[in-house]
Amino acid sequence: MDVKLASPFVESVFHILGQIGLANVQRGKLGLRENLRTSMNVSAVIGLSNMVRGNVVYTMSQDTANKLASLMMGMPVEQFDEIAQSAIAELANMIVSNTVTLFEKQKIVVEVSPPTLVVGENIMASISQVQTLVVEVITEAGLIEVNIGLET
Amino acid sequence: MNDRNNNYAEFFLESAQTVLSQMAGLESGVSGPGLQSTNSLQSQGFAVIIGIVGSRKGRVVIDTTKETAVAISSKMNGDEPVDQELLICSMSELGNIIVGNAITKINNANKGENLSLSPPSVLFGDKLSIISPKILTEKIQLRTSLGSILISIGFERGV
Repeated sequence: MDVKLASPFVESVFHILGQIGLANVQRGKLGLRENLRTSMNVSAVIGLSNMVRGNVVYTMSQDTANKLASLMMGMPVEQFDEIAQSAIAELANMIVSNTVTLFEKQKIVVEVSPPTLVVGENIMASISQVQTLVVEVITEAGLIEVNIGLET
Repeated sequence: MNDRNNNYAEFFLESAQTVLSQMAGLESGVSGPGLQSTNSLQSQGFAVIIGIVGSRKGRVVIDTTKETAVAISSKMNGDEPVDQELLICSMSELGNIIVGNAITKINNANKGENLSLSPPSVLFGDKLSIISPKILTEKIQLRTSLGSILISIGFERGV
């Protein structure tokens, strides 16, 4: 995978989290994994096609998802219910739309599918059948993993 | 549900049955009512998720139990024992071909339709729920001798 293609994905996370009110966002570890085994129970899966083919999966704990949803809704969110789920899907959408815009500036056309949320325990994932680049994003709401699997 | 969506379900059903038969020697029948429009599903534990972009945006989820997935993968590979890598690879490929075939037929049948798919992601785990906010879904429940397979086809409203 061309690692340079990963940076618009990560930049967008920072940009959009800043927009929703998370001031102190930092990049944590970077790693390359064959498969993704996560202990965090909420994942947003987005498919990519056209000039960049693959998937990006944002993973976080339910607690982090609730906190992010709270920020977005401007009201406390205690349970990961339909409203919170919508908010997280919307957040994923915003991040990915920003990524598409950044790619456009490089004359790279990327089309994205709507986000699919997967909630569960002991989740194991294989993203696009390629090695996954995992970027940790550390926020006051908790850890968010950006898992990027690109065929390009 | 509008006419175009009804069209879609038929194409996916046909594709799934054909591909299961050709790739896994598996016959399948439709069980249960097809049309449900909730946007979340309780996974049986093993899901292949494929994004769709182009003239309409959406996603297809192929959902089954891990046991059924292992059994199908084994059939796809000459009844060989299946490790995790082969499982993921086989089910990915199955999903890829089912969805790819279906959207090719949809594109051919509907003038101006221009759908394409993203590479598959495979997810499995416990107590899995798959939620697609703002997506209108149709579900096809297939029954086979190796277990049941759910195909959920969902697209954004409008357009």
